[in-house]
Amino acid sequence: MSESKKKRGFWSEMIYNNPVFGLYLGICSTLAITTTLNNAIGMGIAVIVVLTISNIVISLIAPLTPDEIHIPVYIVVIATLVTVVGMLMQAFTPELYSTLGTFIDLIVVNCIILGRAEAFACSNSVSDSARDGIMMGLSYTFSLLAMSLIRQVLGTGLLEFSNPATNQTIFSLRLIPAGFEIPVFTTQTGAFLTFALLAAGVAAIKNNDEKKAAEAEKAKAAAAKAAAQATAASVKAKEAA
Amino acid sequence: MKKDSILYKVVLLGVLCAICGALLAGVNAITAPIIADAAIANEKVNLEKIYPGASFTAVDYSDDSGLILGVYRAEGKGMIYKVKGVGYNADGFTYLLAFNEDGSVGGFQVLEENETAGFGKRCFEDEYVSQINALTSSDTAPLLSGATLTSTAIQKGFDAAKTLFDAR
Repeated sequence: MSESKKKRGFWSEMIYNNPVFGLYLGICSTLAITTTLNNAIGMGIAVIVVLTISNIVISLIAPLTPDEIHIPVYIVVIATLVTVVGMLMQAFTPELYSTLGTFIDLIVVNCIILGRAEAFACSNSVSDSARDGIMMGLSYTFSLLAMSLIRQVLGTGLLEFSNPATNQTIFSLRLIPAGFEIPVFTTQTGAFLTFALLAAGVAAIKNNDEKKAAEAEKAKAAAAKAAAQATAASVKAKEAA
Repeated sequence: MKKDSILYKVVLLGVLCAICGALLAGVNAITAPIIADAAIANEKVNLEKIYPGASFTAVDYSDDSGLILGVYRAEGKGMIYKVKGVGYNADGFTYLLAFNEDGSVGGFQVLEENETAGFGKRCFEDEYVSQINALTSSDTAPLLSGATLTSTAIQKGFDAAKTLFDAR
């Protein structure tokens, strides 16, 4: 699923290998926590940290691990990392921890983390796995930001960001006048709507690219055929002469 | 050791769990005091009014009455209960009630109230407060005529706090 990534640039990698909209992994937490930008950033950072370290650790211990027990081994590693991140967040960003709540603990069962461990880290080098962790984490964060931006702006009319440690507002801008917001976007219904629209958008971009690639291939084949015919014709002409 | 042998798997999982356990213990040792401090940070100013200079820790509790909002231990001095009650004003009120180690009331400190002056408010004035302060954990809080609703609510809260104090 991500083997062709090295050919693509950063942004198309964000779209093509986007775990949420491209691979449909980790949707549960995405739908639940993307009500504000703060949540999205906090969750995103937690996932980047866990995913990167778990990829590194798993690529290190994979050669030592017999196949039959690889899942328990990976889960112990991932659960430990998530618990550590959870404790650190509870200590240093208590406000963020209380809003994200169980979803921090649920990173353990986030399919992205175990998915990348299984699909990538266990059979690749440490540096490649670290890179994969960071990229996957960033594109997960990117999806969270896209979702929460849409939901926060449409749902509350505000573009707002506050310091996760103290809960002080750093930045606040009203984009939609009060009374014209669409509160449904702060609910689960809004989450599903936003998700569906973004996923459709990503699919449209992908399909379009594939179509273009197919057309380019066709044109190339046609050109090659025409060239072959031209050569054949010129050969014939020579023979006639 | 062969990689496919049962022993190898057992040892591998055991070692892995030991390392993870040690890591968690380490992180917990660092973060637990910070988390405990954060839990009482908001209340500390109020707790200091009852037991100045004591060291406070938040205590886990299970309360059936639903009136207790928080329980704090003042090391070597007593227990403080944050209690809510609803008197005449439907928004209710909150106060701190402390019991010293020997069971006598260590303090009664209102945090938030909006009762009617001359009626419910009398429950938070010196006369009634000094009555509460003279009680022990085996007494029942007195009712105040003219402020029946408010003092009844305080009585219920007092009972809930003393149940927890006796069960501690």
